[in-house]
Amino acid sequence: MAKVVIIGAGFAGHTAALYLGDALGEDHEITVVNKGTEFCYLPSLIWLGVGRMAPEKLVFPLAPVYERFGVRFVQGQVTEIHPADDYVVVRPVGEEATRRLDYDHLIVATGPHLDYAGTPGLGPDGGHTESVCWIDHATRCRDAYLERVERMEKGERIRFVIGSGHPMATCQGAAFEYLANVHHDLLRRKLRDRADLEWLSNEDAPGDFGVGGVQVKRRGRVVGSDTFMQAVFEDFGVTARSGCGVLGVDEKRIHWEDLDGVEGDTRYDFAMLIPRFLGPRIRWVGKEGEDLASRVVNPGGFVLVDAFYGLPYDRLVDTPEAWPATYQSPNFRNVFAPGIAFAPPGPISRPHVTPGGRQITATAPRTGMVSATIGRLVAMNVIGLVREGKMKHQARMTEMFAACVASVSDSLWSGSAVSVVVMPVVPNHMRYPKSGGRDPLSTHLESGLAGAWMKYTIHKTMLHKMKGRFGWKIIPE
Amino acid sequence: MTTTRGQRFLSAFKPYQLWRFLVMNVKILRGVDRSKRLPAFRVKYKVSYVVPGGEMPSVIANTSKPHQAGDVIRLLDRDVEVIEVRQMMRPRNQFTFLEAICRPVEGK
Ligand SMILES: Cc1cc2nc3c(=O)[nH]c(=O)nc-3n(C[C@H](O)[C@H](O)[C@H](O)COP(=O)(O)OP(=O)(O)OC[C@H]3O[C@@H](n4cnc5c(N)ncnc54)[C@H](O)[C@@H]3O)c2cc1C
Repeated sequence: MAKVVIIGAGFAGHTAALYLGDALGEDHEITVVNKGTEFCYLPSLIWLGVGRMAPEKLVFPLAPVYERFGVRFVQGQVTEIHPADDYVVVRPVGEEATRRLDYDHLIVATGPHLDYAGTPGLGPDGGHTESVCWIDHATRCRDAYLERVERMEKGERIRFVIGSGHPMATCQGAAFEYLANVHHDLLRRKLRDRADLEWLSNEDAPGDFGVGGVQVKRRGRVVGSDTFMQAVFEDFGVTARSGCGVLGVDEKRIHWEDLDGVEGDTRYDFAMLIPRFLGPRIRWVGKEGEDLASRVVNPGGFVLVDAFYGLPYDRLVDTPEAWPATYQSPNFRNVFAPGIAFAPPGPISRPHVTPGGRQITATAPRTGMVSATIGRLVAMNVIGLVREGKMKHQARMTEMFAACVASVSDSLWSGSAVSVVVMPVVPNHMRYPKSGGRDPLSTHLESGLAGAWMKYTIHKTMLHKMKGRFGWKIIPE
Repeated sequence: MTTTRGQRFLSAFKPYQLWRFLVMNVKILRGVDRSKRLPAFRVKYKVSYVVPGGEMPSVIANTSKPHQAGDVIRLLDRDVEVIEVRQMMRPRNQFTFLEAICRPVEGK
């Protein structure tokens, strides 16, 4: 009987658990360890952040789903991984003592560590800014937002600043979506004229989204996501400031440096800034109790997998095979890292260094769709290893598709959304040399009501899939 | 670029948006299908191995993985260490052209 341990029940880990449970649940021991008891559908947190969706609509309990799939569930936090001895140390919630869990295959799907501490004054816990990256943070963000709305109703003018909170932050799509929803919610409340909305981001141009931007052909013209987003910002009446790495936040101002090395600050009354993402805060311990981190994770804590690390950017863009295919640790072959937990070989967007030597770059996003696709791939390979002793599948982000639908409101009648569909996520200049590395037939950039329908459809179908309900397997990740 | 009146009208005009919704679905399903089924795209590296100093003649060979500095490889019956890899020209289709500067590994 094989033992598979999955750390984390987000998009990557939960998807892997469903496929593994479905294939091996009856005869083998599949265990999921997750900090919380519920699955949270993170892409819809932006609606929670403006008070347009109740938190309970975004979550469902994991245990009943796992029971149906023959998967064991432990609510707790993994504190140590012993990859040379094949076990993890778990601190179950509500228990003082730690527990040891042995494995034959380990899937590290912990998502990001939200590094608010990386920017002084950032974040909801002890800092001055809000965040929509996790459900309790988004709930706090909603309360802070509604408090500003109340002040505006009394006649006050409020300055909202939304974007990225670190020179190396990612997830600009989520921040933009939040900005769009704030804009729309204020319009709906007839308060938009009392608000100044500002976009502050570390992307070198608006619409880069950490994937180097997108180009599409529309009515015979090539439109880039930078021009497209500029038009959207103009339409929304938003002041956009790109290429800014946030260095710190105090009670009134956000301090930043731009790509030219010029330092400045922005006043705010409400700020929602996405922090830098780091890898999981878990100790990697060797046989003698030594620290194995340098063999398993990169300096940011992301798990090293089968990528080619260290290539200069100009070579990386021409080396699609540098991106990992199996997400397997090269030093510990029974350890896999799908989703945000794996270390990408470099950024997708061109990196920038200021004259003073500070790196300001929108780092590579690993979106929900990508994370779930990799989760499924890793599960299929582990199933192959358990049944036949070999892995049969591979998928690189240079061949993988992603969609980011940034809704402007949740209404199916009058809503709208900016839809960005990219194939592949990481431009593959060798396969698509004439279209900026992207498949021109699948890549899509558009704003309109259809996007709001798409967002709603994805929300409903993904939750249906994640609950493991009828037909879950045919719904694409 | 600014959003024109026509574009604004179309972005909320429901019959047109239904059409766009269908187009988007087709694109998404096409992307999903391609990312699920595509055989991995194999890049071929044509590498010119150069050992400065004239000790060994240059060798040109194909590999499926690009070398990195520090790799030790067997070249004409000798072990050499790659000390630098340069891209000689922009890749064409599946081919990437590299030059690997190597030095013989001591004692071999
Ligand atoms: C506001 C917002 C909007 C977004 N919009 C989109 C979108 O439109 N489209 C899209 O594709 N993606 C979107 N994303 C991104 C998407 O949500 C992430 O890419 C995805 O959640 C990553 O999945 P993951 O499984 O790697 O990590 P996560 O979903 O973060 O899951 C990690 C899990 O591991 C658990 N965990 C961590 N450490 C431990 C430990 N030590 N022990 C036990 N458990 C642990 C965590 O509690 C968590 O449950 C959005 C994200 C946000 C925040």
